[in-house]
Amino acid sequence: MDRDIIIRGLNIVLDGYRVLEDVSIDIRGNELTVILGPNGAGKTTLIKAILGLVKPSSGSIKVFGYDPFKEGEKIRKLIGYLPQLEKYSYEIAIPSIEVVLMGLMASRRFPRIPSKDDVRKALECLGRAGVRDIAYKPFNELSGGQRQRVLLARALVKEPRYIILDEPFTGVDVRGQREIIECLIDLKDDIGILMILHDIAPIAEHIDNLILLNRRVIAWGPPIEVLTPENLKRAYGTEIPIIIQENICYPLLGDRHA
Amino acid sequence: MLDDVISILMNPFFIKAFIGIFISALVAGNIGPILTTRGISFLTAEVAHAVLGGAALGIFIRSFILSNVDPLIIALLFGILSGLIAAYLGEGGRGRFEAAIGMSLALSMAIAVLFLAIIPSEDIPLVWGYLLGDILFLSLNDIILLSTSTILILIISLLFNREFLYIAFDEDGAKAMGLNTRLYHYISVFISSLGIVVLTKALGSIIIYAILIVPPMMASMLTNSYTRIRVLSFLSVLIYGIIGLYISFLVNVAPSGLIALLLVSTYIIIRLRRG
Repeated sequence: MDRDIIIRGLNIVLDGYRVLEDVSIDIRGNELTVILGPNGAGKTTLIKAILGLVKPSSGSIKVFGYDPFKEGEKIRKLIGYLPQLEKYSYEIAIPSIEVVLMGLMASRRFPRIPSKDDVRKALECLGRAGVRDIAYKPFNELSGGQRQRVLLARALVKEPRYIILDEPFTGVDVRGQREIIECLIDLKDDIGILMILHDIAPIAEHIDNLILLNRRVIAWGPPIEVLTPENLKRAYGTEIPIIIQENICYPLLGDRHA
Repeated sequence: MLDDVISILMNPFFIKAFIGIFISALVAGNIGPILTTRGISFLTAEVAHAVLGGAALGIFIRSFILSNVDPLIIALLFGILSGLIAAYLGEGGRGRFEAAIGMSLALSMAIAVLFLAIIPSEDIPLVWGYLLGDILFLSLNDIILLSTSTILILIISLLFNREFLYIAFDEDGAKAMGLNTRLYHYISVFISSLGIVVLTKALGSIIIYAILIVPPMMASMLTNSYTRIRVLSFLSVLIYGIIGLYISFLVNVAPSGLIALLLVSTYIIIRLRRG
């Protein structure tokens, strides 16, 4: 269980465009790993490849010993996935509990009718994510932080070994971000967490491993080693100011106006 | 006055047309929300045009190859096939999809034009019937075929309600959780195409957009519950259908045009009042 995700020489070409180039990394379980990089760096493509949703052009990926593209079913039971908030449809009102039940029903066989036990489990996971009280509120009426925690409950209900989050803080206010982080920190003892971020500041002190990506892996390892001025310049193509406080690195990646 | 109303209501044309309207409302109430929430409403134009080509092909087959073939069945198969092909081509991404739709629209119309030149001239109005719909002239066979299709659509959309909801809400997530999203995408395209053929036969390809897309858009201004959107869409097509049908008997205008006019103007009024 030391290395849950092993990627070697991964290349991905989509529509003739090389999205990822020679990516080789190991991601350990029971750690919080962050993928950081500019827009178009291939961050989402990398996690889609880990989930088996995108086919590698060459190279290999092993997730818990399985090939995600060929043995996707096995991996999908072990990994909970939270796509970016903008990927969901907000035109239809779905009660939060129904969103959580989706986590159980989607991998079941037809007919997908939740049992009493399923409902109890879903409510329990909403509780673990701290949103038990909004179980019957429509998802599209929730705040960004609440939505993200309902989705976290949807991932938890499958009892995964790993959770992958794509930009969990985008569109979420500071208070919502804190609530999500508290949930994740509680989970970290049992579950490995991998998340894509474009700014690590909200969660910097909790990151065990950082992957700096811009089509290629610029650097990976503990944040303090990865976040050097040289590496950041190679990833972003421009100087990025860094603040170091109590041995924690905060690159200033937000919009900077003079 | 009352006698006039009763004589219209008891008119056998009206009764058959009423059955057609009821079927159309059931189909539109189920398919319309699937098309709008999944963002695949372009299927409407695609399949409706394919039905014209299919009908012309069907009449050609009946005239020259198999005399006992019902052209409606050929139109039905042709419409479903074109919907599924569009869905298949669309898997490559949005841009490819639009190009594919444009091409298959042109192809369907080209087939229609080609066969219109070959088929016996007395059968040509049958093809044009699909432009405005045959709501007043549905045969018993038509009604049986349309009802069977409608029952199939209802059964499938009830059975896979949850799956359709999942892929409409979060297709990536559903796929990552192990749902066969591709299968349910194709099933939803299949019943949508089938429904579009039914509506084209009953009310015509020209107004089909108004029947399928306007009711769920109106309904979604009032509610965002999926079930309520479907019920409201059904009710609005049914009510406007009956009003349109009734007026068409009074003033001798094609009912489908009236229904579309009523639906679209109501939508515009609601939009204007809401600002």
